[in-house]
Amino acid sequence: MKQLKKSKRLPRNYLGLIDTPMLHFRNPYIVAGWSVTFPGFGHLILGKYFRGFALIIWEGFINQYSKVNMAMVYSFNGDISAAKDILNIRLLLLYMPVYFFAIWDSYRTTVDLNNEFKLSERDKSPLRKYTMNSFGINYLDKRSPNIATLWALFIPSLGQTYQHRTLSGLFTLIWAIVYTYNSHLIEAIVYLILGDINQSTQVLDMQWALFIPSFYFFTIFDAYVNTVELNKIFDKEQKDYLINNFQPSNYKIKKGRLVK
Amino acid sequence: MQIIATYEHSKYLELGITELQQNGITDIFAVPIKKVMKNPAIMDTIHHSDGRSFLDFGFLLAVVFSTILACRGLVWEWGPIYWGLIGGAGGVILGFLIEIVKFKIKNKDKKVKIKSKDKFAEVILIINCEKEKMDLVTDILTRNLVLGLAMLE
Repeated sequence: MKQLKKSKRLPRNYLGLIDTPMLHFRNPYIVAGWSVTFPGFGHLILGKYFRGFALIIWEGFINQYSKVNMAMVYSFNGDISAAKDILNIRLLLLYMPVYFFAIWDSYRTTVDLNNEFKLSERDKSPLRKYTMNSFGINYLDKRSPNIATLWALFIPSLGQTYQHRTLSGLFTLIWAIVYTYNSHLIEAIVYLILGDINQSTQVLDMQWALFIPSFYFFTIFDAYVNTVELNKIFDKEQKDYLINNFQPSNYKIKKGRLVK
Repeated sequence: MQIIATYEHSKYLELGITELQQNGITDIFAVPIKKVMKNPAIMDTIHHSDGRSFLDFGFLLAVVFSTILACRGLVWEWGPIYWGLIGGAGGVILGFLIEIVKFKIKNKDKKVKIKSKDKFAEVILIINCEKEKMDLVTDILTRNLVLGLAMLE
């Protein structure tokens, strides 16, 4: 295609086989906010996957080692001395710098990428529609944000998989399984369905369970927002295609009368 | 004969155009239209998104509330899972309301709809063809989900 040959510095999307990173406007406060809930989420929103993965793996390890989640549980319930007792201070202070780095870095990167997006929009960088080779196929498509949200509500990661964002889908799926398994969440839900609330509370391991709310709501949010943005990219690509192919300069519009 | 058709951006638009070309109708002009949004909608759909998100803040609040309430739920009667879910739902709704109130204060005259139901013509196609082919063109466009049609002579 003619439009693909134009070399541009920054494309607006990259259609890979396993993922579709793209540029669009993002609110830096919202991205930083996700980094507050779980270091690394902000970077996942931006499409900086491996930086995000590294931060998430680090957070999982350090939190588990230092028992930060349990300390939170005790603190929220007003039992400060129990919180002090459970914290393992051997590596605890390493937690803070990375945590605040993740928040600061995701904010900074969002502002940066928003500027890059403005540039690439003014540049009318070409958009890719298809990628295909022996490992598979990926293409721009129109998807329903509500369906994506619905799948994400069932299991974290299905929303991303629906969008063919397999890398973040697979990563969140693995962690969702690790957290669910270790926190005994499913057992707790089964007891709840059977009506035994006490047993359900007892079986739950709060150190692991406290990872789940941020993961769960993040994947829903991510599924919804990115479906909308992928649809917008589809529209833009089609618009470029129409302008490039269906606007001949010698075209005459008739001044006829309406017949039907 | 000139036929004017309106479309949403979709695969069917391209399918329609290529089918017309296969049938020898190649005199086609396309005008993508920029949408002017009057009233924003909360939920975006496949064809509709207004670039205004009422949900972002709500999901952040959902995480905060569900974490805190799940902790408190250990002591409270209903247990951590119910309270976590209540916190999540409460956070989404509260964030939602805050965003809507903020929007309402800034734009007093605008309405916020849950979902935009109106279909918007995002592309206008102008097709030149002979009079005999009018039925064929209409048929092809109708099968490919055209929104509106007009014929000029």
